[in-house]
Amino acid sequence: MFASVEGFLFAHWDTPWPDSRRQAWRHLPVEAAAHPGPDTHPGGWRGMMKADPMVRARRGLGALALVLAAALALQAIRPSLGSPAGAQVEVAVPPQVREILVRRCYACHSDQPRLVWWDQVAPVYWVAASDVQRARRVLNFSELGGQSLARQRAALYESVDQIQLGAMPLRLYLLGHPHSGVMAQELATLKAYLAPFRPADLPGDTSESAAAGPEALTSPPAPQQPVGPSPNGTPFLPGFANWKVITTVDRGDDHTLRIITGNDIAIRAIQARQLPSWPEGAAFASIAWQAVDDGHGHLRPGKFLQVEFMEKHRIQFAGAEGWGFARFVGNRLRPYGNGPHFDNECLGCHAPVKKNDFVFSLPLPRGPEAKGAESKGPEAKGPEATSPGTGPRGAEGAER
Amino acid sequence: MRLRRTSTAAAAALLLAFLCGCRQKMAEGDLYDLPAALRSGLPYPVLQWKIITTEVDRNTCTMATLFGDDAAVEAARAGIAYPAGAVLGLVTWRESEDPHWFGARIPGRPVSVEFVIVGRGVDETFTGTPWREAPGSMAEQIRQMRPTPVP
Repeated sequence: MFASVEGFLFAHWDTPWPDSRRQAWRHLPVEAAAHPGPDTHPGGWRGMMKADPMVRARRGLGALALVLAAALALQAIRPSLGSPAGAQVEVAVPPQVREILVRRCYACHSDQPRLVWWDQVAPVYWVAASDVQRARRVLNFSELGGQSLARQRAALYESVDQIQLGAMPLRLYLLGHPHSGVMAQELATLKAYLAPFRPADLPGDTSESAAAGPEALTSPPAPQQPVGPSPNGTPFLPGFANWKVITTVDRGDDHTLRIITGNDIAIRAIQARQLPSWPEGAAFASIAWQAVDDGHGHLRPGKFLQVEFMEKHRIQFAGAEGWGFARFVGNRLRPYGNGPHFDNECLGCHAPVKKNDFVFSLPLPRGPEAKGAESKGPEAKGPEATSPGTGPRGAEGAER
Repeated sequence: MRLRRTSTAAAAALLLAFLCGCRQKMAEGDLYDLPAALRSGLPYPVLQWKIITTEVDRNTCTMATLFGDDAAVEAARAGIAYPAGAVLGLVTWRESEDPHWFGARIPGRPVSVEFVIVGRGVDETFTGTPWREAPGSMAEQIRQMRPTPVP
């Protein structure tokens, strides 16, 4: 009967096309659409109000008012960011360093939080307040001065690490606060102040020996088994000194020498170039000694300070990114940490190297080609060996 | 319809890009200490041995680690003289800044590897790229290096 749907819908209408089309789109019968009213409307009052723009606008305004009222009410829920109970002893640093810390870090890591206006509006305020509280728990420059100089320096070193590895300021914070990042010049000033390899510092007060407690400062060690595992359940791993080397570290920040060793699983992963994902059961030991200078710039390992372990068990240590962290301190190998969640401290420090599976050490390369090459071969002695570029790793010899 | 299809395609592309980003392969240099790799051509598998000690020379900015075969390590830890035939290997690296830890230095370019074969009277040192062999000069100092105190 009708050639098209439109033909059917508009056949008896004399209203202009666009309006009638709009009505048709709402699937109203032609008669009802032409004379809408509660009695004639097929949906009754409800249907008519749906269609009435005024009613809809009024409803929208009402909803908006409700949302606004709720948002205003939410502003009343404000966790306090008043000064914490800790003693107010500011970190002891020169003015130019303090200025940088105030400008770049104090907004969260101090008892004088600086929130811009949009930080003040809930729910953003709740995120900001939670961040500030968490930041203070980790590091509070307003109270850091109450700790030993070694600990203050260690905190500053860690701060520089977090900044240069891009972990601080937090990405989310930078999104909300553009231009708040630490400038290269500011980072250089912090580094120049810390000057880890300044000769006058050797041998000096070390954070590690301070952390190790008095027993570490006694005569040369003969450490036995510790009294128990780490509070998070990570066991002491005997035999770590017989593991193969991962790397060695000269720590100017705390005047220690360290040897990092790895168990067979870890070494195999290096040989197989499996990184960054370390396999289940891989374990490292970071063994630290106080660095002793003979007065001529030759440093040798002195007192044994501690051994730290990382052992990969994805399920057992699921709460710590799959790593069991442990530290056994001093000659008595005292397990470090209070409570099973002490490893939050470890994780916080290791977080900037998340892309390396939370492992700081860059292992010395090992591989099938290196293994084969390490056997005595005629090419090592022959005159042809003097030509450059022989050996699969020749190209890798450049200084980083 | 076309709009929906376009937006679905865009969302899929974004998701794919995100997943690819997550799985982006890291550069080898961010995973291993590549400059410190020991090149081929050494007479002993020194990195397969246990460590006896490690030392740092601030004057030359070098870091030297003493390895030993089983006989050497056993004697060193027991505090007795090295038996004849025991082999010690001293690997010296130029220090380089640790990119992961401000205030730390790690092995950089290898400078030399010196082997002492106890009782043989001569030792050999390897330097350069590739290794060039020469008579060793530090046999006595290497023998005098004390092992680190370890549990």
